[in-house]
Amino acid sequence: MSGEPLLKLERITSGYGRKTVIRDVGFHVQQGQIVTLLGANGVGKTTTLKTITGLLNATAGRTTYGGRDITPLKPYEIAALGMGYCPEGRRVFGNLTAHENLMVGAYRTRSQKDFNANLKWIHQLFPRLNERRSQLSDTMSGGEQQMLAIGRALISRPQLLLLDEPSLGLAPLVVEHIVKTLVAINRAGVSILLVEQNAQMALRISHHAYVMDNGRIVREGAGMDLLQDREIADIYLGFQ
Amino acid sequence: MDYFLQQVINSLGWGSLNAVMAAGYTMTFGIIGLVNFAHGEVMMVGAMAAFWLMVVLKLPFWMGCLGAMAGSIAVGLLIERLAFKPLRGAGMITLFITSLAASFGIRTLLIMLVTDKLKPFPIPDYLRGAILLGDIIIFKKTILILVLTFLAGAALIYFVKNTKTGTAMRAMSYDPEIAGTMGVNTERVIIVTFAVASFLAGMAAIFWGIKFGSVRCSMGVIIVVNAFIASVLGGIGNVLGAIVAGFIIGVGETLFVAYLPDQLVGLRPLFVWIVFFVLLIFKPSGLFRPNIK
Amino acid sequence: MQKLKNIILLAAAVGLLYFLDRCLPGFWLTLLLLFGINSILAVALNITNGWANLFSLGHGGIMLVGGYTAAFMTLPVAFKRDLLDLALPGFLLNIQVPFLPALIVGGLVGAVFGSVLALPALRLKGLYFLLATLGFNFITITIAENIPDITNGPMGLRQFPAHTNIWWVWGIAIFLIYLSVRLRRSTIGRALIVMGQDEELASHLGVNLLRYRLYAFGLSAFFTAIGGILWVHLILNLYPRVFGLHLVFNVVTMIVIGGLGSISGAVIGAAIITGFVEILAPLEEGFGFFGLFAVPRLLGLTTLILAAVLIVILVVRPEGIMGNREISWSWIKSQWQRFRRPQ
Repeated sequence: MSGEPLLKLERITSGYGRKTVIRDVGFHVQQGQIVTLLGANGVGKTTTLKTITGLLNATAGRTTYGGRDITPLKPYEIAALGMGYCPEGRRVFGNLTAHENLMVGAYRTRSQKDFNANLKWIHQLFPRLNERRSQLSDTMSGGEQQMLAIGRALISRPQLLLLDEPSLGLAPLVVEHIVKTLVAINRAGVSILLVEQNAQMALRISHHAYVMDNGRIVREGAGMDLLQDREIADIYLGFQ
Repeated sequence: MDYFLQQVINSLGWGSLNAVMAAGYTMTFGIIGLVNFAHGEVMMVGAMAAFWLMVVLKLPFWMGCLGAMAGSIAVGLLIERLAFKPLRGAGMITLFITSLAASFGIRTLLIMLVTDKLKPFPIPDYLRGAILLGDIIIFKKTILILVLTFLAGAALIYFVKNTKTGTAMRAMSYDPEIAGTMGVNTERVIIVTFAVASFLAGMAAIFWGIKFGSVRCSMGVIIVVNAFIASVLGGIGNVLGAIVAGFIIGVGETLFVAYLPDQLVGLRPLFVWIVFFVLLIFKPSGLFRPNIK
Repeated sequence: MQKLKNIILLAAAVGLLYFLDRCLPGFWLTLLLLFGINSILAVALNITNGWANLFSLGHGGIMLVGGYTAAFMTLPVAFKRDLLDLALPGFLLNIQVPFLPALIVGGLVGAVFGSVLALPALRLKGLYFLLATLGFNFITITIAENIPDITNGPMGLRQFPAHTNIWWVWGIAIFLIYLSVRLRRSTIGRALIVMGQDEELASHLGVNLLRYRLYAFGLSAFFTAIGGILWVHLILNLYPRVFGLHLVFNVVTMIVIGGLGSISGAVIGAAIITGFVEILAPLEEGFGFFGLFAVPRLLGLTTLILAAVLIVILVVRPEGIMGNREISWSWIKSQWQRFRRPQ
């Protein structure tokens, strides 16, 4: 847990067109950690993730991944470096089957053997995806779509997995399953950057966390510490 | 009954043309939301290339066909690079207006070069003649066109359904942003899509020449409207749908004209527009499932 | 004070028009008339395509309907009845009407016809609406070509009285520009623009979408039809194809170059396109260059250049010359500042 972080953001400013949403954002994710980005609706968490993955261009600042400056890179180039992305709202390819979704997730995987092995791993994590593999993802339930989105991000065996609000709109039982899965894959070596509104769920499993407000990072600390912090609960996260 | 069957058989060549053009059209429509009015000119340039090779340079038929494909692919990719790529992310209406401009520009340029007069499209002897099935006449060239369409269609559907690139294309039609984050090189997939669509337009050029025996600079205008309505009818981005819809429109249009009284034959272009408006009222998503959100 | 200023302006305008009418040589006068007609078409189109954000290509069909309606009224009886024996009702066939009523009736018929376009606008998304208006054009032309008893088919009509002159053209053009400027500042105009920017917001604010769309299309179509009628009585020729995609596209190019949503932009665009077309026309015919060599016929060069220009504008400066702003001192100042201090 020391040395050069896997992912580092330095003074990132970004937004949509002329509208700046996040300002001077800086944090890092160490290899092997689960790091959470917390904050209420609209503070810029999704904008931050989109900037990291290259979907948005930062107007200032630098993103480093594995020691390499990835700020100017395009999304597919960043994906090729070993970053998996599970976007907000799941965004599965509704016109494709579950299996085809996973195929697209594994687009960068060269060998058929590797793909088959990875596919088996995903099916072990989420057996439902195997059952439903020929089903159009449009017709799957919210929970199944979430599992598919995570599986799709994982099937390329990324070093770093970015998840944007995976618990949104899901039943508690499903959320539990996802939480357990995240911990398991983290133990298997995958670093995770998690964006969440559900602070309880996220802080429980995080090594470290950052709180965002109004486009900036305002607090940080170890997961457990922040979990007990009253101030955070009231001021920044807006829950009881 | 015989008259009806004969009309249907006669229209299969035109139906194939429409099907092949619609298939290419729906691919670019699905993947970047582009209603490409210049697709007709992509076909036309291929036809002109074939004409030039076969009639001016007196080269054999197979070289003319190769020339048609090469010409169409070259023009298709050129338009993509010059007109559509700089407008990546622009609204559908802007893209459409641009394709209109490109269509006008290319057509005018070609007319300036070779005039809008009919140009002969010589075909080899083995394509002439017909066979008789009872009272029905079936031209050999119609059979060839049908067979080629069937093969091309099957190959295309296989490509789109079963290959990595084809699946990536369908994923991009639905959500291009997220497809990019999965490692799909979106620019390259777009280029491949245009190349395939242009290839199909080149095939259509050859079909046209074979069926009508001549080509001209304004040939694109007639078919591009059919192609776009067929792709809406078939479900945007759905290749199988476009092929089926293309046949429906081609055969339907011919039957429509066949059963009209003589003096109303000029109402032929109305058929596709009636189909369009009926479609928009009752089932705007098309007959088959579209590949877009 | 304001009233006196307006009267002086009006008198100056009338004087200028009179002077131009008497002194301009034929070519330049025709150019001025074409510029005026194009301005009418562009400013009218701006109401629907620019302000109301309902991008329509239907103006060809509207001009066709208006043009033929007026033609039935203004064509000489000998031509309509004796030569062609058109299947028109008696009251049209047997009289020849002066220009003003023909303009008004033609305009109204065009307006009603064009208002029909407002209906699909409710159900169809932007692109589908656009394609539907394209269909509207095609269908109108096809039908017009196939009812020769009424329209004389693709051959069209001739023997038009040459009614169009600088007073009609620029009188109407100035009136339309004035009307548009007033409209833009009025409640109706602002409701229209809000509706164009954000439909949901507009309907929350109480704007009846259907009604305002009807207003927009009705007004736009009225003047579009009038523009068409003026044009027909200038070139003295009318056939269905003339209102095809080529013309439609030209007017669209005018407002895109000038800036969607700007009245002054529409006029500027009309000026540029008219100038382009007429100045390049001799090139299209081919001419001797100082007797040194002959420039060959390059028919269609104009279309080619215009198409290229349109694509370049859409890529480099999609908001056009004016964007959606109007010429005013503050605009001129801001352009000057941009010029001096490049960002």
